[in-house]
Amino acid sequence: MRDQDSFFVGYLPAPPDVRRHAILAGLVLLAGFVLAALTLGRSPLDIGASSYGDELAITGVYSASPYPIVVAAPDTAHPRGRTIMLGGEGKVGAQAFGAAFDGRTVTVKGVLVKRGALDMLLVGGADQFAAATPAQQRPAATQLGRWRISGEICDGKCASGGMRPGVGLAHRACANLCISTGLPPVLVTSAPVEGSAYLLLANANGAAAPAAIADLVALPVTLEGDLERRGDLLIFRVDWSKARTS
Amino acid sequence: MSVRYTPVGWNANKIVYDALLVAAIVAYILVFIWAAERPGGAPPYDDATIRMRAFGSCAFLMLSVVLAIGPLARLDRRFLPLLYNRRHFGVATCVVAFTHASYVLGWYFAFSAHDPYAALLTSNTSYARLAGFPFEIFGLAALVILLLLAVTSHDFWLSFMSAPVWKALHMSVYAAYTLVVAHVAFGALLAPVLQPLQIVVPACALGVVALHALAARAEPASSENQGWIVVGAPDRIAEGRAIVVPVEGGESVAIFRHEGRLSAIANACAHQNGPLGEGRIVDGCITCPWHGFQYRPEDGCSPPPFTEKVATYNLRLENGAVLLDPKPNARGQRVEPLAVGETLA
Ligand code: HEM
Ligand code: HEM
Ligand code: FES
Repeated sequence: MRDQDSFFVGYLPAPPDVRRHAILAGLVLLAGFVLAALTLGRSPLDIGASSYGDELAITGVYSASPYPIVVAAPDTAHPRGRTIMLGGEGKVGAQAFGAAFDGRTVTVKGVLVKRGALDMLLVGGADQFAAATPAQQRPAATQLGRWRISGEICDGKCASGGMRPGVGLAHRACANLCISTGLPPVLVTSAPVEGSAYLLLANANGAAAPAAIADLVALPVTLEGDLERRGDLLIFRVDWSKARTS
Repeated sequence: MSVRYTPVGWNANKIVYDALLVAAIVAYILVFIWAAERPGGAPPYDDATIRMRAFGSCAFLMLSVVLAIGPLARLDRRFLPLLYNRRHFGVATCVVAFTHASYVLGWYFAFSAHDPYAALLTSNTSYARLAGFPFEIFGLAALVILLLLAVTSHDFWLSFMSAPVWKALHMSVYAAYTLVVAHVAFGALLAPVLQPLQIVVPACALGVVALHALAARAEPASSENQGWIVVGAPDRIAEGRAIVVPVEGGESVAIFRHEGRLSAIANACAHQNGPLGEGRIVDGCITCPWHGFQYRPEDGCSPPPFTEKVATYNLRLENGAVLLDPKPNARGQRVEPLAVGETLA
């Protein structure tokens, strides 16, 4: 304990050395806070640029399973046919909106959210779907064999720029909430697979991923299963009993 | 005397204190947002995410400072001005933490068909594993404690609950701090990228622990003699000051010297249990170092018109040593001060 004569009584004027010390302590605190803010404020993760809001209408065949997607006819920019995942506005999947159109040719309108190669069309409601002619053929799935692939499971909407950063442990519960409402889960792969940086995730039988996927989201995982290509989208039919966190 | 005796009202010191507090918070948030959106840096996070990070880290730093003030003031009396208005610091911490949580609920847990609070509790249930543990739950528990402390912070609750209950309640601020450290350790600190928070948070937590350990070591010791406690030579006690002697049951006694005579009273102030023995004699009265409540040395009563009372204790002098009877007298019972003469040189 320091021995000194100065004594501070709150309702009396402070002795000069206490006053000096208090002002100094206050200024040190203020400076410390500003310095801390400068250091802590910088974003720890460089997530790259993303865009949100470009309007887009795409015509192609709508598939409801494993998650709503539209596969357009091949063109020069997309020799396999541009394929886009659909989501709702807010935390909601597009399943209910497209229910009447599974396997049919449609024009879907929405806004595009896009980061790097990953993108998604956000659709406001069933009224944004319209049957289109001429009818296109349902695209065949190309089987690419059995794979074991590492990466991070994200919800496709936040990871494509719906939120920034929208990935990582801090965002885990948010991603789980998105996936539970029917938004498509994706595996952002540690290294490109067949030229793609991400895969749409499904069950081994090709249906939507099970609810237990929630325990694996946002962690480094290794998944095993069958890979297929529909249009230019890779779909990973995972054997979830073999999923490992590392 | 009665004009000065207004410890619960507003005064210039409190206004300066609060102004500085608000300035530090506002500066922190603005500079944080500026640093996060700095042009030329990486593309920024969402506005809501930047703000939840700003308010969260601000609340953590404030809580660390609040917890450091007690031991700092014990180690160096000149830090007492920081302690004077600590409750406002505490309440401000609570408001900043609440703002953090509001941004989280209004962003990560919004936009769905579920209630945000229900979504907070159900979206991540990986309680069985360390990586991916629902760290939000620690933050929620800490926030509940902070809200409870802030709501019961007024002196009304202190007298309503009685000082020991209120003090026990306030000690839960340490539980809140532990929860916040866990909240960050299982969340932001687990990020795979190196970031300053991974250094700042452990440094603050270790600093708080170290200060408490240092302050605890500075507490005095004593020995016993047939029930009476041997305090030592009277010149251990300087004029106008006290030494603090622990007695059984976790209580302690402050022995003051005033005009060459010794008086012993309970160390805990009747206001908020402030350490009277770390106070001084001002205008003939023992004056609490925290908010300046005053007591007469000879009977432990506040001077009229005030009515606070603390217990007095008996002293005697034997072979040049001061002895203390650890049995308290009734609160406010008069005890003739023990004459020990002026200390020479
Ligand atoms: C209901 C209560 C709370 C909830 C739901 C909550 C939730 C969260 C979430 C989701 C994050 C991650 C944010 C991100 O990086 O994107 C976070 C970070 C954080 N929280 Fe909380 N929190 C709560 C209470 C608190 C309290 C009471 C404190 C401190 C007093 C606190 C301090 C922090 C800190 C320091 C961070 C790290 C910020 C950073 O990344 O720089 N939180 N919290
Ligand atoms: C979020 C709100 C609060 C926080 C974070 C907080 C912080 C603290 C801390 C750090 C202690 C530990 C003991 C020490 O350092 O000596 C404590 C106890 C205490 N708190 Fe609070 N406090 C809060 C609300 C309040 C309020 C509103 C008051 C006003 C009455 C208050 C007054 C005190 C006092 C006087 C003690 C000392 C109790 C004792 O040692 O006997 N605090 N609180
Ligand atoms: S004056 Fe507030 S605790 Fe003593």
